Amino acid sequence: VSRRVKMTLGALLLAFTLTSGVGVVAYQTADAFGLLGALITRTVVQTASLKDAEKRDRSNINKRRDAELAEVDLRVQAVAVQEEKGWLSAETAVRERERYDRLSEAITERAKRERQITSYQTRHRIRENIGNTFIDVVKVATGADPRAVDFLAGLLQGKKPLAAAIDAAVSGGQPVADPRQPFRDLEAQLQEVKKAAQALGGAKGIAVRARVDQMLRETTGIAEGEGEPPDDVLQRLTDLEEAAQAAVSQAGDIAKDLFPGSEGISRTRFAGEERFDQLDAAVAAEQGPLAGRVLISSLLRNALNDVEELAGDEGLTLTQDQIDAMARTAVGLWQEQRKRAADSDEVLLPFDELLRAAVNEILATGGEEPLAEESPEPSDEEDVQPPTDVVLTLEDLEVVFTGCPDPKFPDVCHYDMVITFDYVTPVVPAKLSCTGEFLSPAAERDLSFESGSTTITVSRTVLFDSSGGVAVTEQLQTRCRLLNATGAVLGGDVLVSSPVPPRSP
Amino acid sequence: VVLVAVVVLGGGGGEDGRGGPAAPSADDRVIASELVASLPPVSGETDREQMRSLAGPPDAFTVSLETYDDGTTVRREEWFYYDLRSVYEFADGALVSNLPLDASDQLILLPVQYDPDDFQLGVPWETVSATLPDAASFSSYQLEEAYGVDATYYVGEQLLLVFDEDGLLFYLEAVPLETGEEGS
Repeated sequence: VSRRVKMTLGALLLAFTLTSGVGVVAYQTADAFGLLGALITRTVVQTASLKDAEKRDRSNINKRRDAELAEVDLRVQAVAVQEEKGWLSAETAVRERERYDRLSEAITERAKRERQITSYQTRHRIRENIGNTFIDVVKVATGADPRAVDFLAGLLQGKKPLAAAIDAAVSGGQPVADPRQPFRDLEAQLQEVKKAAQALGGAKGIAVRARVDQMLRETTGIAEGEGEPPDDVLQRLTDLEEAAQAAVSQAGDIAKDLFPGSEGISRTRFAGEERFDQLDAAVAAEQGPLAGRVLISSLLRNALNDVEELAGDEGLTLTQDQIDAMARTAVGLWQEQRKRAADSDEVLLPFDELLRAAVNEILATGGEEPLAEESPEPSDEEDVQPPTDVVLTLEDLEVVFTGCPDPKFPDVCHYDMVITFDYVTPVVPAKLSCTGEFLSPAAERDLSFESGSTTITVSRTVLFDSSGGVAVTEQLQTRCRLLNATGAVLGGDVLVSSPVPPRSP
Repeated sequence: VVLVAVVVLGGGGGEDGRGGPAAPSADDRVIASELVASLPPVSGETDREQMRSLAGPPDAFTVSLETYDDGTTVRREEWFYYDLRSVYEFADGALVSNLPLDASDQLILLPVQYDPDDFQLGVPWETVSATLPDAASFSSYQLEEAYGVDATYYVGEQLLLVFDEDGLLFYLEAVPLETGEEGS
């Protein structure tokens, strides 16, 4: 009997047993391994690998079943929303609903059969075999040097492996011919630490990865220089170590499992809110790849949610326009860094860091104070000199209209501002960054020299009001500043007035 | 129930309150237009490939082969992105759902050694194991008889593989881990 025939027979018998009310035993005799069998097995696996699975084993079978059924219901609702937006065809939506019906059956069946199980030893062994210690997991996952994994683990446990390495390098006791050699060794080690850190995920993990990447770049800078390394650079390194540690607040070194699905679905964020639904509808109405629009939609959901949470935490009173601008800017920053990462090995910053930067950018545009730093302040003994000699002077402004009005939207106008500045920066690399309302993401230009002239192109989009006469954004200004490599403001605040674009007919 | 869900989740419908999405405002169109225009370069034929080109490989994933009553099969995949707090589900490469994830307050250890592209379904353990870095470290178990499904698991190193009664791979999970006290 072929597998296909066996499955078909099984499915027929299953349909009979389900409709006739014959119990579990009859179904088991059918030995069906069609869709339902697969889904039953899948839900068993999910239960096995869920955290706290043991606690649920016998005492919480019904509770677990109900939670899973509620999640299926959530997914069915998602199908309806996707279909409504045109992101799912009617035919696919029907098939998805049918599948979720079968998944609900599978969950109910599994719960029935689970009551007959007296021992969950297999489940426990599965859990034990998924992963063991932090060290083992990271070592196996990344293939990094075990010493580097130890270094990373120490970092996450609140130890100071980097500070210790720097101490050893600068106070080795004996005069050495090349004081930079220990930093070349440290650079090689940090390359491996960076590799190991690839296993870290979530916002905290990405924050650590970004800090490790910065440590490596600072160390490379030292290794490539000559003579004794400057104290301020060494201090920056130890600050980065503290920042990485602050991001995770001492991670435990024992891993527990986290199944990527089931319980992770956020019911509250799924329900959404009116503003997200409006923006979501606008994104859905755009042309472009479905994956891209869905991704933007997910990011906007996060951004709007996070801005409101942040505003609540920080006691900020924001207008809807500000919230929109912050969300839009955060998504724009994420897109920009993804583009940069595609062409380099740049480590991405976590979305919540980008969001804070976006919030600060919009607050600054409105002349408001930025959010307080999240990272701990530098140690008391650190002697940080404020940057001096920051100069940014507007030399020239040329405006090029690129789509005014927009072919599709007569009330929208696109144009480029080609701005030339003279500048002096106390640190390199630095960036010239221009921000402003209706400007997302920020326009940036890397600066490699301490002084000179540079030109930046700022692409802008403005909107006319409904009367068609006055450009509602004609009072907009573009704010240009000098930033250091990590995005901190060095100074040189210049406001460039936007031109009044040709008005809509 | 579905209609109610559409209205509730779709933002309450049009301005007349009688359902149907309201037309996006001009301001919202500008925002959406800018963001879509600023997407990183997209490559690939399917939604799945395009998502990968935009967001990179997933942090964790499940892959399953589902056989429907009419004999057709579908490769379903769930891709989890923890920083983006989103999960995307694909059926034969077509995007069928996007759901938000709760943020984890723990450090997550990702199964970065695995890639969904590396797994072919419908093949025996011998074929899969040849592609694993350390297949010998995996343990195999049989699903308890009471479940009534003849399935075999192979488990190890953040990977869980499930084979059907014919010994063919039909489901797998690349499992992320959280740091913290075990059992807490």
